[in-house]
Amino acid sequence: MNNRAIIMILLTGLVTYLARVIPLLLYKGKEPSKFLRSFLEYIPYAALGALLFPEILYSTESILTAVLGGICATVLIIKKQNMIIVVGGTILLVYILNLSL
Amino acid sequence: MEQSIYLEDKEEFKDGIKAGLPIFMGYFPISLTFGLIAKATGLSGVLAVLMSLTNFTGATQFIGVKMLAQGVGIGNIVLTTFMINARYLLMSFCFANKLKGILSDKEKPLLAFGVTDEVFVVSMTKEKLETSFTFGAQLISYSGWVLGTLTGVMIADILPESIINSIGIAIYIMFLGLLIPPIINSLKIAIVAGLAMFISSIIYWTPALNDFIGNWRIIITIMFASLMGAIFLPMEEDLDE
Repeated sequence: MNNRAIIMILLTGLVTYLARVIPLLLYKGKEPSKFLRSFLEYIPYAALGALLFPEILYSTESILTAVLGGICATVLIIKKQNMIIVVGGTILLVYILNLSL
Repeated sequence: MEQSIYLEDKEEFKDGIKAGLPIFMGYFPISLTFGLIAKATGLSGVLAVLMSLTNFTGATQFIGVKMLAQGVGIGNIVLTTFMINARYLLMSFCFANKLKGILSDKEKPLLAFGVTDEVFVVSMTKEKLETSFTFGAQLISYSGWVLGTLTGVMIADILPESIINSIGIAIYIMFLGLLIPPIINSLKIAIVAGLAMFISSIIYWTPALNDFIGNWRIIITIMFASLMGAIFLPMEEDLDE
């Protein structure tokens, strides 16, 4: 676990740094195309969508508690609560639901 | 050397720190949660902090520890990380553009390390950007990120086992927290994210597809949904905005 983790951390750190440094080093003033810009901007949101669904449904002991937890978190996020409150509140809800369902 | 870079323009550097304070406040609880989740997946506290020190990036740190705990191959994790963080190519390009003639060759590798979504926003919204301003915003942001992680792994040590065990949903709450605000602001982003959820679910729930694609589901979904978005819903905004 530890060796795999260290290799993963160093390699993800490296590719992240490369994405940050390459344009600064190679800058010639030519703008990337609208297509490429759109593609790169959409990637993080597509990734978050793919990571969320459907796995969030299986993240607690039952699908029902996961759905209720997800709704609770969504409402708190829309109401612009601090992430600590969102995460803490939802975990508490899931914990109580797991005890009572 | 860093000293002399930072002191180039003291006032701008201080302004950058001030502008970065809200980023500090925003990063701290997120990286604290990262520390908690990393510990819950079995990563040691030292490695969790090392990851924040070397990666300094939000979503992919969560994704990395999650995939690692699931036993996904390292090549797959690194490729996923690169794709999600490829947006930094655009942001660094904008920095190069905006700091044309101001940014020295020596400063480039250092400034690059601290390019994050939030530092990008405070820097780009400034009419006349100085390098020292961005360095100030980066320093305070980085402090928040690392200190938050450190606090998180320390809290994880004193939390009871039963609470740590119900933390499984926390990582998905973080994903929701990153995804919902942009979805509310942009219909295009909502469509692309919705399409990604749809494709991911189809692959996951179709046994033949899932056996064949398995852990590459995320990468394939990202490529397909982003490509559809870029073809049918190109972004309108200019880079300078």
